[in-house]
Amino acid sequence: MRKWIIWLLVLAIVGGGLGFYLYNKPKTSMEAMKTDNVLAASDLVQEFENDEAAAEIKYLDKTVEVSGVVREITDAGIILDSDNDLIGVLCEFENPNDLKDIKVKDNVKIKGICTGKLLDVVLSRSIILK
Amino acid sequence: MKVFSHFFIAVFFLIHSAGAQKYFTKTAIVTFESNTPMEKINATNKSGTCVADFGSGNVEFAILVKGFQFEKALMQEHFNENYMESSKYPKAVYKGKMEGVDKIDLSKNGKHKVKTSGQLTLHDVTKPFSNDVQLEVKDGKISTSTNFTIAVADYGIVVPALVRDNIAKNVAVKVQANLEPLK
Repeated sequence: MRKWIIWLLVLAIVGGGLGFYLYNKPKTSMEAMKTDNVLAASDLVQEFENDEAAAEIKYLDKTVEVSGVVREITDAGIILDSDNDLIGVLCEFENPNDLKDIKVKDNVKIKGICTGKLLDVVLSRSIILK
Repeated sequence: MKVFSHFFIAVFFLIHSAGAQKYFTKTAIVTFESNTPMEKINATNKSGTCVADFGSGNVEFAILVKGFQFEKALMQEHFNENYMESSKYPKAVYKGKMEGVDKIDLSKNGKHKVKTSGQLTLHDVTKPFSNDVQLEVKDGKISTSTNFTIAVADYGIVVPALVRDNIAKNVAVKVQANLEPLK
């Protein structure tokens, strides 16, 4: 009988500990995230332009690496060029300090999570790949 | 030929003068906070898009739900998967009108309070929405800010009984947008 109680206690502690660990787990760092797709910024824009619903299924929540030319630098990130002057890939940076060495017209490779398309296709938590 | 060139000049000025009244941003900041004695949750999104026409008063604001960043991974997962169902409904959109903005002199620096009312779509539920917005015109740019609360239940978001004490029934939202003239 006593053995049961001890086992129950152990289980409760392990369960509680696991729950607490999961609850407090920080987000996986972008560096450590597995890349799902590698493509050019202009191709990503093209896919969203052609069929937004299909592109959402393919890219939403996915970690993508896009390469392209910096069109514009914003408060929170950069916008990469595409073949369409009105649309680009807006990369919102996880750490704004990463922006300080970037200039317009630079060729860059960015890793981030695709969250969808507003005026631009948006990548959140972006980092620069060296 | 001359008629044509006059026509084009007229069209150009028409577009130009209409364009001068339009302002936009792609980097509006939206934060929200859910405060209960059990838990404090907040999240930020820095990629809100806003287009505001100070001639007609039309304003449109959109944000990607998946762009909200939380402190804890699990919170972000629950927010997207259980509450907002952001894979099915990726965008939150507000479309409305700003009252009396055509009377604001945008060439002069100054602060204004403007009422906006329209329709807010969240989680595929559209509801009438109205709120006051603070505008500050400074050197041709307009910074705007507004605060409001959203009743989670109004937008068909169901919170399970188990975590009912952890999530506020009314979530406080702050929006800050620095608008620039649309060229």
